[in-house]
Order: sequence, then structure tokens, then C-alpha cells
Amino acid sequence: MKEDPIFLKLQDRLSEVSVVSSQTLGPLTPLYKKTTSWVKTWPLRVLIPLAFLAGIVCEVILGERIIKLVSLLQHGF
Amino acid sequence: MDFKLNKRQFLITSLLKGIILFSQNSLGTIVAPYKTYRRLSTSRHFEQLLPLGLIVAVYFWFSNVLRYGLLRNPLIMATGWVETTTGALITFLLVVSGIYIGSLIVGGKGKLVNLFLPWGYSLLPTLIWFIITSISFLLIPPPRTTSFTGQVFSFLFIVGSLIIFLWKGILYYLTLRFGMRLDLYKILLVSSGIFPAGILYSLLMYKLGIFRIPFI
Repeated sequence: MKEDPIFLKLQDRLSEVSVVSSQTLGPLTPLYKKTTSWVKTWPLRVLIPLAFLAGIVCEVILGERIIKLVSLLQHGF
Repeated sequence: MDFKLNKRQFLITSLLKGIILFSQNSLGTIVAPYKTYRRLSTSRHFEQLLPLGLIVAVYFWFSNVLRYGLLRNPLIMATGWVETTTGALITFLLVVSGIYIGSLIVGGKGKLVNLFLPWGYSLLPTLIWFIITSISFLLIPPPRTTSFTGQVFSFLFIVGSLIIFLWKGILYYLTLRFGMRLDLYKILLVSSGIFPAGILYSLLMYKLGIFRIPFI
């Protein structure tokens, strides 16, 4: 059993998963688990619409100043 | 069968291993960052940072050519390359040390070496943003105007920058979570100390003329 490759792989996997203890936030734990489940794999599927919405909010708040901001950022490299 | 590598063979195989691991883990930071960072925090294959370092050095050469010109000011271009590359390396070491010390203060349990690979891969969003910004500077030099195309480009640039920024935020969180075994409260506590220090450091880099936006 101890030399079984599947058992050894399972042992390694369990050691890897238990590197950190599970995060708890009291009553907010279910919300935290739901939020992190979206970003654990392919976070871009959440980040792209989120960034798009944030971009619209910036456009509404900053208006034409967004153009000056982008001109400044383009020099930032 | 006993198979021993000489020094040259060992270096070549290490470099190849680094390239393969770098490709796998770079894709992993996009597809499955959680699983990738959990693995990186315990990995000791530091040769995978070599391809990243090489890409960063080549990028800084390109950005300095763009800024100063290859034939117009070769000495200034070369000096700029040395400054920016050294600045990026020092920034990397300072950030890793800052995260380590800040985490120890709040009771983090990881080692300093646990942070090198995760933080190294966290430079990928930064590098991508810098590359996109440089290429946009080359192809569509600023200033932007209030025309329709200017506004569309400005909006897309902001959205792209936000995507990269949020991705970087996720990788930063995972660096502290798996590198130093911190929970969310402690991560926020450490960040409340690191971020102001980072802002001051960025201002220093700007005043010294090394980075306009720091390569963090």
C-alpha cells in the first residue's frame, strides 16, 4: 500500500492542499468561498466584465479627463 | 545505467527545464492561479526565473531604445538600460524582503525562499502592461485627443490596465496567502504597511528618473 503510486500521489496531493488552513471570515465565509471560487480558475472571465464596468464608471466620473490620464499613462513606461 | 552530466550539459538542461517550467507556470497564472501559486510557494526550481529575467532585460533594452534612440544617443540608451534593469532587480529584492518582514511581524509562518517564485510570476502582469504601453507609445504616440477614436482608445486602455491591475492583485494576494501562510485579515494588515512604503519608493524612483511608473 505504502509503495502504491496512486497512494503516493494522493498523499502528495493532500500535503499540497493542506499547505494553508482553510480561510474563514465568520458570517462572511460563504460569500468569500463563492467569490474565490470564481477566481480560482480562469479569473479573466470575471476580471474582464468587472474591468469593463469599472471603465464605464471611470468614464462617467472623469469624463474628458480620462483622455489626459491615458496620455500621462502612455508615457509611464 | 549511470548517466552523469558535465557542467555545460547541466547548465543547458537547467535552462531548458527553466524554460519549460516558466511556460507552464505562466499559463498557470492565467488559467489556474490558485493551484499554480500553491505549487510555486513550495517549489525550489529557481531556474524558471531565468527566462523571466531575460525577457525583462530585453524589454528594458527595447524601452530605452524607444525613449532615447539606438543611434542618436547610444551611451544614454545603454546607461538607461543598466539603470532600469538594476532598478527592477533591486525593486524585486526590496519588495520580497518587505513582504517577508511585514508578514513575520503579523505572525506569518513561511520562509523567505517561498516568496521568490510567486513574486517573480507576479511580475508578469507588470511586464505585460509595460510592453502594451510601450507598443502603444510607438504605434499611437500620445497625446490623445477628444475625437471619437481618441476616446475609444482611452476607454480600452483604461479597461486593459484595470484587467491587468486586478490580475496583479490576485497574484499579490496568493503570494502572501501561500508564500507566508497568511489569512485575509493578516494580508490586509501587512498591505496597510507595504502599500504606503511602496508609494514612497515609487516617488523616489520617479525623482531619480529611473521609473515613471515603478516596475513592481
